[in-house]
Amino acid sequence: MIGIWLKRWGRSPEEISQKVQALGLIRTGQLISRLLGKSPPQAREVAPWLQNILEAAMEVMCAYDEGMADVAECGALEAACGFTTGMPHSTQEEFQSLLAVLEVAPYVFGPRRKRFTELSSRDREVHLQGWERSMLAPRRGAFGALKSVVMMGYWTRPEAFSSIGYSVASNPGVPEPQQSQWKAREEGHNVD
Amino acid sequence: MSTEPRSYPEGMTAASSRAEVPIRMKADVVVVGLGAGGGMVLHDLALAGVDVLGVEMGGHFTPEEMTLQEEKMLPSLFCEGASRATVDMAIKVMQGKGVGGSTIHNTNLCKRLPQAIVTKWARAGVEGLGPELERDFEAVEKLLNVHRIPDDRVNANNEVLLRGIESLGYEGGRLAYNRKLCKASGFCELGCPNDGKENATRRLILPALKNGARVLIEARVDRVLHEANEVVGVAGRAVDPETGADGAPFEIRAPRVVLSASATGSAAVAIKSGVPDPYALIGERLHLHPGAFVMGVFDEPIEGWLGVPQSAECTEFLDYSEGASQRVWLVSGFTHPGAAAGLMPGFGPAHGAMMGLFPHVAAIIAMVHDHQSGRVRPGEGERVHIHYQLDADELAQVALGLREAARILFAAGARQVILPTSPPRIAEDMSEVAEISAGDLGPFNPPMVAVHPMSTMWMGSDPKTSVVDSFGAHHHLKGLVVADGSLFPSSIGGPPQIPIYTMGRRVARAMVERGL
Ligand SMILES: Cc1cc2nc3c(=O)[nH]c(=O)nc-3n(C[C@H](O)[C@H](O)[C@H](O)COP(=O)(O)OP(=O)(O)OC[C@H]3O[C@@H](n4cnc5c(N)ncnc54)[C@H](O)[C@@H]3O)c2cc1C
Ligand code: SF4
Repeated sequence: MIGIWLKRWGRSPEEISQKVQALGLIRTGQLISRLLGKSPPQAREVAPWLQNILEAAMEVMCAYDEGMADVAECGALEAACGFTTGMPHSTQEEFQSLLAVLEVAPYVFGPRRKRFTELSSRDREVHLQGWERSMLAPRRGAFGALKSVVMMGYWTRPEAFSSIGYSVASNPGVPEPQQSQWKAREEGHNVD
Repeated sequence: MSTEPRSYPEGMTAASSRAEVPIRMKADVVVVGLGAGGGMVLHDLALAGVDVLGVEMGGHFTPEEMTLQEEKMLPSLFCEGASRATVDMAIKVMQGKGVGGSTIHNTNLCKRLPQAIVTKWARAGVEGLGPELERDFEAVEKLLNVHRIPDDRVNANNEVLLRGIESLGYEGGRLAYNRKLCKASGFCELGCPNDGKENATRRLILPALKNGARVLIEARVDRVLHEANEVVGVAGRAVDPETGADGAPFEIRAPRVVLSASATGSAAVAIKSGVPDPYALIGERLHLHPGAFVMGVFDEPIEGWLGVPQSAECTEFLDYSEGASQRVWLVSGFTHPGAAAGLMPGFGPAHGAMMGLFPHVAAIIAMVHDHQSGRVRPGEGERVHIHYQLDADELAQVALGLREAARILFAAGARQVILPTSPPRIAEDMSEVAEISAGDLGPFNPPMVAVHPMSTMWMGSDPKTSVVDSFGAHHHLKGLVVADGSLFPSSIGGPPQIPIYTMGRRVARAMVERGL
């Protein structure tokens, strides 16, 4: 169904990318949501289906070695979503629309005609590499925006700090009350 | 941020807390935006006894509220929740929001305008750039406690740059800063938890309030109101600090309006307001000092996040002359892990392995003293559209910066240098990056960051080729004055805060001398 709809939209990735630009990211996101029967992008709250897409991207983008914090357990998704809600409302809608586009993009860009969240980790990685290295500037721009949010979500988790030798609590220049708050965070307590 | 009702210094109110709808106020002078330029004008006018009201889009933050959480402080302290970028998204544009503007989170480097730039501006028709400018620089530096960075404030990341340039015989050295109560925490870009900065908030805006100024925060000015070619006030909307949603409308009647909303914000407000612009100049000539990060991996720990973030520079490749073939300012730089991970190339396990090197990484930013320019146009709410793409000449400067930053890192003992190009270059010695040229680069390659927007409403004596006169008064609209980074007729090739503070002082003095 999605495949047929996208074929009607354009024959090549370039053509479809141009259509997305012409229609505008937000309207494209709304269209995809309607097609999938999901709630549309909206400011201040990232709908669960869009969160799933973000988490699926985070899992491969932050798929690190053993001994590093687990994306699903360290609160990275919540932090990433929280980070986006500080942006202007129209930017939030654009970012969520980007997630909606990412969900259906494998039908156009491969490596398999499936939704992004249904791809294997390896295929998701290949697909995201396509965005990162794309000749289409808007696609690379979109990847940059996604990466900023993903990394901000994951690498701000105190659980992720120890693997890179980083700590706020042990920084002698940090005063109270921040020092104690960070000590608690780095010991795994929720103080926020 | 806390949701509890809070109190502010006397004279400061939050627009969202005012009961009346619409909010109506009056003043003799309204200052739009309270960063380096606006803070100085507010201060100097208040001390001169003028009825002055500052209107700031962002909030007011105390040192206790600086939680040092990147994912929370960046959206609170930066315009567009730290998502601002050029329209093609290839250059991230970081600008501050809140009482103090970009001086809340800047890294406090202080330099006067280079003499070559002063001469260039004087030739372009800017008046009053002789000894009086030097006197203003001196007074501003004294007011802001500017002094040479002491030895014990040079952290390991900056030592790398100093060591590298010394061994290569390159020009450069230690800089000056405006800090006093600093405890070398390294969190400057997320807001100081120690009130260590002698910034616009601490040195100008809080003292201005004590001297009778008023400040309305969480209030975004959308339009300068004007009738029969004279300014009559400003209008805008309260902004909910929790949700970012627009609140009650406000209108402030005033015969003088000072635009100090930065080189992007002021032009955006002026264009939205239909300020007369017969030669279509407003918003043009935007300079950014676009910069790229180069990272070196060392055997010893660097822990660049600890200590004062920036204290050293290399000026070997910074030529201010017209048509110069070398225009790169190299300065040390560091960020905390959330932002750093965004700058490290790639993703997945290879990226994770690179993050594992984080404690051993030293970084240099190669910033271009840009001769080309872009333009800014207003967007919805606080959004601005920044049209700026690096052309071949500027990309050649980026390439020069990448090469020379790598050379300095190797000279300082790096065992590896990471260039965030696409694909990333991870070099074991200089020969692997020595050939990098403009042809290897392009949009997103490398990702660029800009923290110094300038020009867009520049000074000059000819109304056909400049937007305001040498002291910030608009050539065509009576009562409109500009006092921020917009005033610069060109890029300056170095840290802009001291020149902007100083221009703010000149503008305020001229207003008083001209009877406002
Ligand atoms: C990360 C970073 C590090 C930096 N480090 C240094 C450094 O070490 N040395 C140096 O010299 N410079 C540094 N700078 C740059 C320097 O801080 C700025 O160039 C300078 O503060 C700009 O002054 P300004 O008055 O033009 O604008 P700003 O200081 O940016 O202030 C503009 C203010 O206007 C407000 N505003 C915007 N639009 C509106 C509106 N419509 N209504 C109401 N208010 C509005 C904004 O919220 C903001 O508070 C740094 C900047 C950044 C981002
Ligand atoms: S380094 Fe100094 S000025 Fe910067 S945040 Fe830390 S204490 Fe404040």
